Amino acid sequence: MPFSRRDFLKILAHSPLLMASDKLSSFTLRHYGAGSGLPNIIIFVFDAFSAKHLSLYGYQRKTTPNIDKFAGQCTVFHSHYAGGNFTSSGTASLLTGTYPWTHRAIQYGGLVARRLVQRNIFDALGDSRYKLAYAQNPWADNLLQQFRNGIEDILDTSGFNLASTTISSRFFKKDPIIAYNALDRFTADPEFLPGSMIFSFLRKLQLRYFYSLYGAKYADAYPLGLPTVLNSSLDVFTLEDLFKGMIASIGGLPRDSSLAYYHIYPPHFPAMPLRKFADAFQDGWTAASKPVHPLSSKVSTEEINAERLKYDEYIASLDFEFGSLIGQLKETGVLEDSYVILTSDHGELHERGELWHLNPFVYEELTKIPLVISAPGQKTRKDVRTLTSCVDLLPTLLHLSGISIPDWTEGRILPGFGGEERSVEPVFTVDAKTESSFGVLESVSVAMVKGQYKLIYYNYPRYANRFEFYDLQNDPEELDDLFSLTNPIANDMKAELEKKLEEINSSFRPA
Amino acid sequence: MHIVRERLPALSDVLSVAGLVTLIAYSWTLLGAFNKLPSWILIFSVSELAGIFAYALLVSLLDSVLVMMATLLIGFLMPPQWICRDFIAKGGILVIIFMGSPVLFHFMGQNFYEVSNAILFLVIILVLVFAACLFLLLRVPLFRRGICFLVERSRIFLYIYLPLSALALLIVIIRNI
Repeated sequence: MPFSRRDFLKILAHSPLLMASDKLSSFTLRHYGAGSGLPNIIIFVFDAFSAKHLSLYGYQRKTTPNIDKFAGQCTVFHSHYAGGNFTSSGTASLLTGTYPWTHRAIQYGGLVARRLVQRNIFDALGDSRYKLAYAQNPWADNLLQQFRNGIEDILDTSGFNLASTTISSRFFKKDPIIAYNALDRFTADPEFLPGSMIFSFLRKLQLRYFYSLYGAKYADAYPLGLPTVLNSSLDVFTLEDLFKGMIASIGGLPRDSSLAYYHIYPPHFPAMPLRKFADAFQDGWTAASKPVHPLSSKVSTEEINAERLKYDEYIASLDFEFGSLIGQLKETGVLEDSYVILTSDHGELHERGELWHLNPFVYEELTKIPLVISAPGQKTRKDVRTLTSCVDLLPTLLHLSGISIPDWTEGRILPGFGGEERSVEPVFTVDAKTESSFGVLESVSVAMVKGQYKLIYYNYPRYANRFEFYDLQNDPEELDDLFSLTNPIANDMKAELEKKLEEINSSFRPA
Repeated sequence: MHIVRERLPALSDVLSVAGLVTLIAYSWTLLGAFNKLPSWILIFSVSELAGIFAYALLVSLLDSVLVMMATLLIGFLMPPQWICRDFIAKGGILVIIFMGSPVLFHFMGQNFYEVSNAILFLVIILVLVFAACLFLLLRVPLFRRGICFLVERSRIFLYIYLPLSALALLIVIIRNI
């Protein structure tokens, strides 16, 4: 049937209504919920939050008394792994339920493959819930922006900060990712050589102004300086404001059928503890000494220990504020009625001559992350010691929302929430920061954990085809590398990993 | 109106100096962009890369306009014979100093935590370098010839970069509709 002028005019006449219906549906969801009567889900992601540093998981220092207390009415996962070893890859794995070799957000500030953008937790939940998301880390915010079609409200990435110099999120709301990469991360980049002379200079002056203004004001509360968001924005914030902001935001959620995702920057470096925790762990304790890795930056042991101490103090500060937040959620009844999830995108490394997570390593301190879930009405603690991965969160939340699990997810429903423990299936943490999103992955580090064993594979130009193998049950600190071609378990895992990588890469090789 | 006209340099001189501004601003940006290109191509598609370049070029345009306005303002505020009558040489020097000082600040400014100290540092440097250049301009004919040669030949860049900026503006508008 031909498309007539009359048809065109009819569509034109209805277009404002179609546009308005979209806004109306968002408004209705925001204020009245999706009406499906499902308990709310509130996810807290603390950036660079290593499970190995939490007293909840047996860490030497009492870093997380409030989380320990909160865990008394939660399900605590003891062997939970990140999909990547830094923000972009780890967060994308959490939100898409796929590993980095699938979602392809593998570089610093990387993005999910455009053809897979619809495959994420927000879109997968469909209209069953109202969805609100916030990421203080601009790289995580970029991912939320990619998924914005499935999210009713994305809070401004610098919304809870004291002051912001971020340009893209304020002025280019329709094109935030490209604007961020061009403006905040290139032309006005205050950290590295900027692409603009004048613009970046003005931004630097603005930053200096903020630092001197707020630095002096909060010098008592933060003796090492104010917490700062890196990744090109250098915004400053206080933990108190950040948590107050989240509490206020949670207070505005519909009573049921909503999903709120809060990805906050601390305890990501630079660690800036509150004064009351600044000397909390002057105990003289040092972590087990580990050999310096050939791929490390050869950071001195003294510096590593000093950074570890600051990181622990920062975690204690964060835990203090989290305790207040949980107290508020209890008082308002939100905790009783909702799923409250605490997790991270990746850990933080302080060993083997290396610091933080801007490196190719996939050791436990960097890959093992907390996962604590409080279910509605849960009164007692449950401990799950079986292997789980951040890619499992998406299928679990879909299952809890009564939605069937799509076949594209690489995760499975978490044990204790309708799923069964992994018997033979491994979990992976993948690092491929120097590789293209559009090609085969060759320069990679991959950790493959299966049962009690962990195989690490490195393949870099000057460190090619190297393996390490650990028995995590008997050697949780990964001190004794058991890799040998005569070790049958190591060999089987090596073959399985090589097969997996070949399978991943084959789709990117020309026919 | 007469006073305004008297205190502003000739249009042809303004265009030449504007050419130098665009040459420096856009070259810096493009150099930086091509330096980043190897990491960008790992993440972005061609159309996204075009978007990034478009934003960057618009920022260069903004930089150029700001520097040009500052140069013209100084020329306007000073007695005409100081800068306006010799705008090609003195305006050219001012532009080089204006665009060079942020680069200097980038490498040395880390030492200045107070904004006022940072600005004071830049103003002192700016005045000192400008005074030194004026001295060279008056005493070394080769220096003057060199500056004039550079400024006059930079004009062509104005005709290259301005249409590019118009295209960039169009791309940014389309991306933000």
